[in-house]
Amino acid sequence: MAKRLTNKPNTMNNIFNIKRFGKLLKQQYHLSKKSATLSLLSLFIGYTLITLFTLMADRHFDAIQWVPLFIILCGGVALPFAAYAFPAFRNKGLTFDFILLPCSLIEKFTLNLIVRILSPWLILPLVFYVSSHLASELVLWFSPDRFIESFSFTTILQEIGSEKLPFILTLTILIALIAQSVLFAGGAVFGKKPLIKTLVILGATTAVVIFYFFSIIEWAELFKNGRVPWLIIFDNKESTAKALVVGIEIFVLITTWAYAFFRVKEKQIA
Amino acid sequence: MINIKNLSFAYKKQAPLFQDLSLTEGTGQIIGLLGKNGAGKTTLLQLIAGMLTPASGEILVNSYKSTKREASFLESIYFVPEEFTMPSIKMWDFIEAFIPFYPRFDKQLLDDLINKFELDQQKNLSKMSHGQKKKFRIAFALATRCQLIILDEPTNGLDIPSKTIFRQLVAGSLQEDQTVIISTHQVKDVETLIDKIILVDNGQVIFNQSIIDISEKYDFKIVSHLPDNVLYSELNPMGYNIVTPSIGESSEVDIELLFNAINNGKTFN
Repeated sequence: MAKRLTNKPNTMNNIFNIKRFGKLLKQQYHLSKKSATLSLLSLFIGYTLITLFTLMADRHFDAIQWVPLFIILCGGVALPFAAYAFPAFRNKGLTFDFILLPCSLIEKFTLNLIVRILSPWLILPLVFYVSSHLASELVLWFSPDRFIESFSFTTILQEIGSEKLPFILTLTILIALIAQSVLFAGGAVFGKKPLIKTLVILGATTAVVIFYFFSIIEWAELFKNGRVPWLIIFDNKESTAKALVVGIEIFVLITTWAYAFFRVKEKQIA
Repeated sequence: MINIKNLSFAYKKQAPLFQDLSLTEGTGQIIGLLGKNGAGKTTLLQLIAGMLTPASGEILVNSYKSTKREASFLESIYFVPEEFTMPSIKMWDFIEAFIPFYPRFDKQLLDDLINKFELDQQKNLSKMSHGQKKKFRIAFALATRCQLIILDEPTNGLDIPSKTIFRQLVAGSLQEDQTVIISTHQVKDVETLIDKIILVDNGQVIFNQSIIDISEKYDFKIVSHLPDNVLYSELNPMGYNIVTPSIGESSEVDIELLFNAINNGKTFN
């Protein structure tokens, strides 16, 4: 049978090729091993010092007191880190190399998603865990009469309680992922100062949404004079409400990723 | 290799740069893309590479629609822009990071080119001069053995010996199925290198001929007195640079003179 003649060199998988994605990961290692090592080292020193000062300010430190510190320190790094996704878009020369790198868009996008959104979930708690234990040991070494309960994920989860745990955990993880993803999408849209610009847009959008709901509830007198809005017809069982909240969060998360993906796809050098 | 059909393109809030431009080019040649400032040389190269999306028309490179930026298309093309940013890593690390993406990469050739350009593989790229970075990018581009290599103003920033080495390396490193497009203002730098001249102006290709054809049809010489059959002349300290119809023997093409002649409205068919 005659073969169709074509100049195309081969018909490799142009959507997602695991071998090519491996090359992309290897490339990232070569390009950022030095800066990543320095960043992790700085993070470890920073976390240890902050934890040290926090512990020294309090003679009695319970396990639950670690929670706000953990959230602030991890969130304070993870959110700006997500906002500066697609670092190539901060510089025309790097945008050039990003677009022309022989990988599919899905591969490049997935790499950014893993590095900017998922990797902080593994790395930051680990660094915090080591830093907090080191700081606790140092404080107890200097001042053995203090009470410090070590940071432990299981202790914190036990505090929440087993009944509520799956829902609270799901809700928290999804909210954190959404926050990261919105900033991640901002990183794909804005070349310069993506964190500030995304926060401004987010603030303005939130204000509009709050104003909208305020106006339909207050000004349209939605609940007054015995009126029942259409949304009340839904079954208001707790499980339904939980499912609805989780469903909305998953929808928002996927929509944010899709929006970021299409913005990256449209990226041009001009 | 390159097939552009009815290409139209305009930057946002600007007049159209290209309108209904068509161009077909085969493999195995070094093309000089020439044009005045703002004629759209770099834009045309970026459109060919799929970095910009045309308003209308189609660009096919090796049967790939360039705007789709498919991975297999991207691994067959290497673009050295006029201005670029190099990461703050050693040259060796850059090579290790990017080699796997180019299936035809020739490491031996890269080592040779790096030696000829007198570059140090252990040096940090960000600490190199602009000329050294450019030489490295050109060497890397040639070593990829990509079917299409695009060099935008490659000799800008190179010293005189490096320009000579550049010409030797480009001419000596290419395989038969490779095409190189060189966009430049400095036509003298690529005069002895290119096989074909494409001149763009006012959104159109106004000249597209091979050097062999031009040299067979026209004579380029320096004379003290203008002959009757002169097609175009320019005063120089020794007399005149002139273009005349050929009288049988082929002469070396003075691309700068040809470029000026075309820009002054002379037509060469």
